[in-house]
Amino acid sequence: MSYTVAVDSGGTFSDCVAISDAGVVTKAKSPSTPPDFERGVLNAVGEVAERLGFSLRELLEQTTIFAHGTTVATNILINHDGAKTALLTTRGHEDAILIGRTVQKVAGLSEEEIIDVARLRKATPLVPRTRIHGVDERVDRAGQVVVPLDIERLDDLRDRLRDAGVEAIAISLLWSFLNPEHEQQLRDWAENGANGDGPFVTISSDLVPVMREYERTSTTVLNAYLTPAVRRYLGKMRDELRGAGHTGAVAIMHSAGGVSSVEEASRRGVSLLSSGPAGGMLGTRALAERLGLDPVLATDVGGTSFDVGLVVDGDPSYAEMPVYAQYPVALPTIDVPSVGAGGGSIGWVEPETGILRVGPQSAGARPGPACYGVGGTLPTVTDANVVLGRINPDSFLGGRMKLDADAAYTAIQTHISDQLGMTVEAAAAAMIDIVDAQMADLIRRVTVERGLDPSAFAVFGYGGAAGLHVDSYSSKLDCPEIVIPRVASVFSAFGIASSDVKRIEMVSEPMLAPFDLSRWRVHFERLERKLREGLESEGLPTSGLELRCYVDFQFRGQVHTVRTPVYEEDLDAGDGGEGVIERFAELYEAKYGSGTAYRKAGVEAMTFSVEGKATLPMPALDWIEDESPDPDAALLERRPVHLGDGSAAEEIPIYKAELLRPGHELVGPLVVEAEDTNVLVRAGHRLWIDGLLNMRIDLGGNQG
Amino acid sequence: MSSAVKSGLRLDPQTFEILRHRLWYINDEGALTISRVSGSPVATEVFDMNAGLMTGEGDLVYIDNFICAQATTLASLVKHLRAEQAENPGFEPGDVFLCNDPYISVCHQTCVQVAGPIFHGDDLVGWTGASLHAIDTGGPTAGQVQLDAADIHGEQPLFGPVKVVEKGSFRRDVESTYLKNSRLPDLLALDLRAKVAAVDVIRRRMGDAFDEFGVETVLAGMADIIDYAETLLRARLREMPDGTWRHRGYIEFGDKVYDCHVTMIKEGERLTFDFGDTAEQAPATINCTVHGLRGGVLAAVLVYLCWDIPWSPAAISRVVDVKSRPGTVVHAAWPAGVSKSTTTGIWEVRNLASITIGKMLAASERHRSRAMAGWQGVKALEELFGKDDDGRPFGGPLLDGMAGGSGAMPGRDGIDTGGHTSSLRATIANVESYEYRYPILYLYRRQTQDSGGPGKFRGGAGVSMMYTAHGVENIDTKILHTFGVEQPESPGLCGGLPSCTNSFVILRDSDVRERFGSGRMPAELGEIEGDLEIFGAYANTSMTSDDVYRVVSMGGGGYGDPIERDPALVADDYERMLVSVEWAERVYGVVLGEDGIVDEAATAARREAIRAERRAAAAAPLVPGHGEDRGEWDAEADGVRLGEALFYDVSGAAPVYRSRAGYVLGPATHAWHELAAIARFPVQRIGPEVNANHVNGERFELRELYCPSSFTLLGAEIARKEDPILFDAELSLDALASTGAVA
Repeated sequence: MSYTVAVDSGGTFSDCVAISDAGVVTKAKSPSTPPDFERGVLNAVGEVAERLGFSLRELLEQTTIFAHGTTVATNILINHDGAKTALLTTRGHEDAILIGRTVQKVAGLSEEEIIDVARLRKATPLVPRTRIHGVDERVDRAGQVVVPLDIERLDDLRDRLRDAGVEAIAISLLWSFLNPEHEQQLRDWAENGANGDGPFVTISSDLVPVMREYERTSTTVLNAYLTPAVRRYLGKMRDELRGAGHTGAVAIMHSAGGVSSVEEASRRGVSLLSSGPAGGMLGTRALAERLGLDPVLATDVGGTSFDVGLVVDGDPSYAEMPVYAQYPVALPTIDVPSVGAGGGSIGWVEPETGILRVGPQSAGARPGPACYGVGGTLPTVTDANVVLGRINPDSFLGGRMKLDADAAYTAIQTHISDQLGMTVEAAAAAMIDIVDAQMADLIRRVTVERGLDPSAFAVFGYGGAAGLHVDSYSSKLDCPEIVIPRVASVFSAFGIASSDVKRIEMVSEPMLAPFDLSRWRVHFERLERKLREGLESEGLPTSGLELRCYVDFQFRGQVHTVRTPVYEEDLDAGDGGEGVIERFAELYEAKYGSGTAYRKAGVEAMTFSVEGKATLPMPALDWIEDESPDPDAALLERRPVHLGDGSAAEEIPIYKAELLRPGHELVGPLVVEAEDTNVLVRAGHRLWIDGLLNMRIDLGGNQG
Repeated sequence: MSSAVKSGLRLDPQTFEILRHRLWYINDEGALTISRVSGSPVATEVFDMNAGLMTGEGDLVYIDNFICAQATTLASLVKHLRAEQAENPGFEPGDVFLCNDPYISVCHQTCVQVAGPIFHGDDLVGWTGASLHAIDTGGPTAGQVQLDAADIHGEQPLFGPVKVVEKGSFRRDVESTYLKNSRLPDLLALDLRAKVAAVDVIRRRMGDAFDEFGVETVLAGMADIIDYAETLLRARLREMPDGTWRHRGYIEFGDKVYDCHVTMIKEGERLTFDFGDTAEQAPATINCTVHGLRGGVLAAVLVYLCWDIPWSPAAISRVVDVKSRPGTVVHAAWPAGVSKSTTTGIWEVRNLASITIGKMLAASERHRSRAMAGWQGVKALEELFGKDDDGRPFGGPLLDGMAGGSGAMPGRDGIDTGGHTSSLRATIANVESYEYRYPILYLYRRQTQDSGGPGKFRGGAGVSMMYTAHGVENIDTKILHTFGVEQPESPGLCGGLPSCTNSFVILRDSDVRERFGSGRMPAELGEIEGDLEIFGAYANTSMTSDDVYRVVSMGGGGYGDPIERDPALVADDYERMLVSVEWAERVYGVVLGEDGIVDEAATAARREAIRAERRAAAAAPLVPGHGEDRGEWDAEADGVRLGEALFYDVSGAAPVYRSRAGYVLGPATHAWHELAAIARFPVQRIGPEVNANHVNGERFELRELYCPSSFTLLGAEIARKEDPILFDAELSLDALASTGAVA
C-alpha cells in the first residue's frame, strides 16, 4: 500500500489526511504546537497512522508524497518577528513603501473600520527607514538606462548593511521588469563574498516582474522579511520527515493554488501567505470535479470569519490585489474574501437606538461563546443556535465538550432580549437571521462584482459552523444544491493532498494595440522556458505539464486589467492581436456589463504570463455504491427545534452523520449531528448521501 | 416592540439591520463600478468620484466614502429635476440625466454628475446618482482651472440637466453635443459610460432587493436609515459640550487674499455653522456655490463626528444648519465662476468646519482622543497637456499632492502621507503609472522632512516630488494650482502648529541631464545647477527636458505645545527622516547628538531657552490686570476642559480660565485670548518648508498665545497682519454654570 499524506498546519490545529492508493481517506486532527509547528504536524500524522494501525515510521515509509500547507508565513507577519531586512531601491524612491500610495491606511479594512477615521494607521513598517537605501541608478519607461549604476560606489553601503546585522535584502528598482540588469548587478554584489551564509537576497525582477512599483516593492520586501524563517521551518520539517522514514517527495502549498518543492518555497516565503485558504479552495475544486459540479461556491464558516471562494470552469479565481497586514502582494493568489461573521460573532443592542447587531466583534475560542463555559458571557451566534435547539449541548464535538445551555440563554436574555422586549428564542432567531444575511451579502458581493449570478452555483459548506447556516444563505441566493463534504473538518488538508504542482511566470511590458505578435511570442517563449526549467529543478514526480498563456489587457488609461487567454493560433493570426482583443472585450463586458467596453479609448497589453500545471500521482477516491434508501438506523431522536422566528419549536428528527450511508434520502426539516459539526436541513429540502459519504442537499424541490 | 418605540423605526430590528447592510453594499457596488469602467486615472487610481442612493424625494440615504461633496450634491440635482423636469421631459424607467451646472448641483463644471430614477413597476420610488471628476469638458484652458476667466462664461460650458439616456438607450444627439467641447472626447465618453453603468447597477440591485424584501419594506428601510443615523448623531451631539468655536482661513488668488470665516455653535442636539463673515466672491475660479458649501460641511461632520454612524447625508442635514451670505467666496452668486472650487472654496469650507469640530472635540473629556488637528489644508496639484514623441496627445492631472498628512490628536501623531479628508480611500498612482502615461521622469517622490505640523503630537508629513520632462522636448501646458503657498492651511490644535505650505518651483535650463550621465540621481534642487523660477498659488506654464520641477504639498497640523513632545519621539522622527536635527532643536527644543541620540541636558536647557524666548517676544495680554498664580491644581479632575492645557476653574463664584499649570488667566466673561500673552512671528518660524521663497513677501504672520506664567503654548493662529486675533473657542457660560452646580 502507498499513501499520499497531507497536513494543513494552522494556528490552533494541524489537520492530516492520508489517502491510500485504493482511494480510502483517513483523517485526524491534533493541536498545533507553536513555535515548533513541525511537532504538531508529526503528531497529526502519527494520529492518522494509528487509525490505520501503523507506526508513524511505517506510514511515512509508505508515503510517496507528503504535501504540506503551513501558516508559518502568516504567523511571522502577525508576530512581526521576520528577518532583519534592508531594502535597496532607486534613489529618490525610498519612501514608496512608507507612502503606500496613501491608501495603505485603509487597505484591507472593512467599512466600519474605514469610517473610524481617528483610528486609521498605516502598516507597521517591515523595513525601518534607516534600512531603506537609495542607490544612484535609473531606468526609464522604455527600459533605457538614464542613470548608470556604478557598483564601485557601493562599498560604504556594504559596510552599513553588515554593521546593521541585516539578514535579508530586498532589491526593487524602478522599471526593473523592463530592464533587470541593475537589479541583477546589485544582487550579485550583495551576494558576492558571502559564501552562501550571507543575507538572503531577493530581487523584484525575479520574484514579481510586473509594473507598479509600490505593489512590486511591497511583495519583494515581504519576501525578504518572511523567507529566512520559512526556509528554516521547511528545512527542519523536511529533516524531521526524513528522520522519521519518509523518502518520497515533499510538496508545499502556495497561495496560487498549487504546490511546489521545498527548495522553491524556500526562496518565495511570501507565496505561502494564503496557503490555508488555498487548500480549502483546491479541495472544493477536486471534489467538485469528481462530483461533476461547476460553478461552485466554496464557503468556510469558522468561529470568527466567513470565507468565500469561487470555482468557475474548473479553476479558482485569483484576487485582484490581495492585502496582508495592509501590504499588497502582486503575486497570483487564490481569491478568498472574508467577513467577520461566524459562530463566535457577538450579538449586541446599540444603546442609542435599540437596534440589534451581530459582530464584527467575535468571542473567538477564548473567551468563547457563553455556552462554552470558559469565561465568555456575551451572546454569540453559537449560543443562539443552542437556545434554538439546533445544537444539542450534550453531543457537541461528539459529546467531548458539554455546553452550558443555561449560560447561552442567560447571555441572550441579559444582553439582548430583555432590552428589546422580546422572548429569548425570538432574539436568538433574529441574531441568526442577521448573520445568515451577512453571509449571503458577502456571497452576493463576491459573485455579482465579477458579473456572475449566485443562483447558478452549487455551494460547498465546510468549517465547523457551516452546517447550521449553509442551507439558509444558499436558499436566500436561490442556489440549487449544497455539498457538505465528508472530510469537511479537515478540508484544507484534503485539498492540499489533491493539489497539482503549479508555477506561474510573468512579466510586464505595457504596449498599445495594434500589437507586434512576434514580441508576444518572444515573451511567451522566454516565460515558458523559464517555467519548464524551474519545474524540472523542483524534482517533484510530476507528469503531464499543461501550459496556458495569458495577457492582461486594459482599455487605455485604466488600471483594472482582465486576464485573457492566448492560444498558439492567435500568435499566427497576423491580425495585430485583433482576435485576442475581441476575446478581452467579451470577458470585460461579462464582468462589467454589456456596453462598457469602449474600444475607441485604445487597448493596452500590460502583463504576459504563462501558467504551468503538472499533476502529481494521486489516487482516486473510493466511490461506494448506494445501499438502502432507509435512514432509520441513523435516527438518534426527535426533539424540539426552533426553525422560524423563535415563536414556536417543532419536533424534528435528529440523525447521526456517521450512520448515514450512500443512498439514504431524507427530507427536512431535520438536523444531522456529526462528530465535528451539525447540519440543519430546512423544510422541504432533500438530504441525500453520495458514494463518497458527502452530505448533499437539494434546495430546488419543495416536496415537503 | 419596545425597540421600535425606542428607535422609532418602521421595521423590526433585524430586518432593518439586514437592509442597512444590503443598501450600503448596493451603493458601494455602484461607486466601484465607476472606477472599473472609467478610463480616467482620477477614477481608476485616485477614486475622485462617488455614488449616492436617494429616496423618491431626493433625500440622500447613503453616500460612499469616496469624495463626499461629489455625492452630497446629488440631492440638489434630484430636487432640481423634480421641480423643473417632472412633466417635461418627464421621468421614465431607464432614464439618466446629466448635469455639470454648479448653480444647480455639482461642485464645479468638471465634476459631471448623472442621476436616474429608480422605478418599481410604474412607481418612481427612489433615485440614484454618480459623479466623477472629468479631465476635460471644454473651456478656454484645457483641464479644470480657468485662470483668466472674468466670470462663469469664461469657464467650461454648462450642460443640463439633460436626459442623456432615455428608457435605457443613449441619446446620441445629447451625448455628441456633450462630448464635442472636450479635448479628450474618448475619455469623456468612457467616463459617462462609467457613471451610467453605476446608476444601472444600483437600479438593478434595488430591483432585486424589492423582489426579495418587498418594495414597501425596502422603502421603509431607506427612511429608517436616515432616522437611525439622525438618532445617533443627536446622541453624539448631546455628549459634546455646548459652546462656540471659530476659525478663519485664507485663499490667496492672484494679488488678492480672500478670508473665509466660520462660527460654529453647538447647543444641545444642534450644530450650526455660519460662514456669513466670509469675503466677497472672486470673479471666477475659486468660489463655490451653496451646493458645494453644504457638501463641504457635510464631509467634515461625517469624518469628524460619524465614526460609527452610517454616512447618511439626509440625516445630517436634519441636525446641522449651514448659514451663509450669497455673493461670498463660499456662496457664489451668478455669474461668478467656480471652476476650481473643489480645491479652493469647498476645500476651505471643509477645513473650517473640520477644525471647529476638532476644537469642540478637544473640549470633550469623553471624545478628545478623536480631536484631530487639521488634515492637509489643501493639496498642491497640477495638470499636464501636450503631445508625446509620436504626436499623440496626452493630458490630465498629476495628483501626487493628495498624499497630505493627517492631523495629530491627543495621544498620537498624524498619519504621514495619509491623504486628506475629502476622500478616505484616495490613492495616489505609482510613479511608474505616471511615467507611463505622461512624458516625465521623477527624480524623487518622498515624505517631506519638517513638513508635519510641530506639536506635542506631530502632524503627518506631506509629500514632495521632483521631475523633469522625459521622452519629449517640451510639455506645452502645465497648470499649477493650489492655495496656502504663503501661509500654512493645515491648522494645528491646542497649541500645535500648522504644517508646511505648498510650493511650486522650476529649475530652468538645468544641468540635470549631465548629472544623470555621470551616474548621479540628484536628491534635491541644491544638487543641480539652473535658474530658479518661483510660482505662486496659480500658474500656467510649460517645461522642457532640461527643466526640473519641484512641488511640496502640505502635511497635517500638530496637537499641543511642541516643546512638550517626548524627546524620544523626536529622535524617532529624525531616524525616519521626518524631522531634521536643526528643526528638532529650533521648534521642539530637542538637541540630538551624534547618531541621533537625545542629549537630555542640552534638551532641557534648550526648552527653557525657548520659554525665555517666548517670554521675551510676547506682549502683555490685550486685557491686562487679571492674571494670578494660584499654584498647582488637578486640572483634569477639578477643571472643565477647554483644550490641552487650558481649563475653566468653576469652583469659585464665577468661572475663570486656568492653565494646566495652575495659573489663573482671568474671568470667563472674556475670551481667553484677551488674557493670554501674545507673540507675533514670521510664518517661517514653523519650519523650513513654510513659504521658504517668501512668495508675495510677508502678508501673513504666526501668532502664538501663551500662558502668561508658564509660557506654555495654548494656541497658535495664522493671520493676515492687519486682522484681529480670533476668539476661537469658548464654552457656553450657561452650560458651565450647570457644570459648576454639579461640581
